[in-house]
Amino acid sequence: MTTSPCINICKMDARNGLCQGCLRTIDEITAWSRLDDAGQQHILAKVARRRREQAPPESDSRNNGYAT
Amino acid sequence: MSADLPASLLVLERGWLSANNILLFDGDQATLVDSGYVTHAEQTVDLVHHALAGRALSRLINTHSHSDHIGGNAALKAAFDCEISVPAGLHAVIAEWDSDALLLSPLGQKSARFQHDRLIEANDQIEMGGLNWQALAVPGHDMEALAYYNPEKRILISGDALWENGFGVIFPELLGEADGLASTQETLEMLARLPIDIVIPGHGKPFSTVDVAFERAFRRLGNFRSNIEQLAWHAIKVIVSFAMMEKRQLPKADFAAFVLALPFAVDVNARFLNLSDERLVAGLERELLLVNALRLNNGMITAG
Repeated sequence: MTTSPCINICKMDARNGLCQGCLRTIDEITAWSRLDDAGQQHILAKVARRRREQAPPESDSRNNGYAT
Repeated sequence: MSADLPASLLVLERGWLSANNILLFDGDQATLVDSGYVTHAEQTVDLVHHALAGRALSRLINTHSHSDHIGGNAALKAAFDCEISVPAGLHAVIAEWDSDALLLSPLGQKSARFQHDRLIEANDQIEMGGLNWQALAVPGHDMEALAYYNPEKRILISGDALWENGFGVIFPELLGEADGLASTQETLEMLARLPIDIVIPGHGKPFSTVDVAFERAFRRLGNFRSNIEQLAWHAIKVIVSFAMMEKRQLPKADFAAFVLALPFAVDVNARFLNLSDERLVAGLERELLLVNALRLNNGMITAG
């Protein structure tokens, strides 16, 4: 069973269309509960890729806490 | 695999600071059940707008009046001009916006004031998503809470009366307002007698392992009934976790002051546990770090 990547920040970033917390698009969050495990894993893989691509801004220590 | 729901239902699965939002479609109209926490309202509106795909949101109904279920009501009303219905027992506290009765002040939580247009009574029938739903009184976590049950598809929208792993904190018992433990027992027994294939809980994913969920819920309630201190400690942990989810992060050195500024944590400790401030804070920090509800990095405590 795939656990939702939501970390309760739930605010969209207008610059890239991604949630600032879970790095999903509105479409991906909306669809989440209807997807099977494979579909959810596919989104998690995309989220992981986005997180790697997003170098945490050095001035923002918040990002260091949960960049896994 | 996710539980198999009719195409006329869409669950917007949120986290723990915001309750799930459930959309039920009827042609070009839709109903939403619960609206999340106020600080997430903008995303809630975006998600609902996207999921509506051109339909109108005609109704918003609530399972109960806690901040994580009603926080988006005002924003959704402003965005979609939907009619808002709340459980009848909550008429006065919402109309008067009683921040104590809404638990906003004691729990250190925020919301956005709204006015409801209609009331839903227990045993009312509501058409949503092409299905007929019965409003069921589910007192316990909130004495006025309603769940919504469809006998045809055997689906229960449970709010915080039943989760896959437990149920919402039994506040009335801890606040000395009502016999919350006995009410929770009766509510679970009533729900357990219904034929249910899928539960759409207020938090967490929809699930079909209903028997296991009832077993867990009854076991947990049994523990609380035999040891009220367990309920008190559980409740304090939940409330501190919730407050930290909203705060996100603070220096470790500020954690004690943060906890001791939550009236509910201090009052429930004084009434049921009598721990010194130091032991209360240290116990919370230790146990919440252990289950990853909190994380400690470079002297900062962050919500997990």
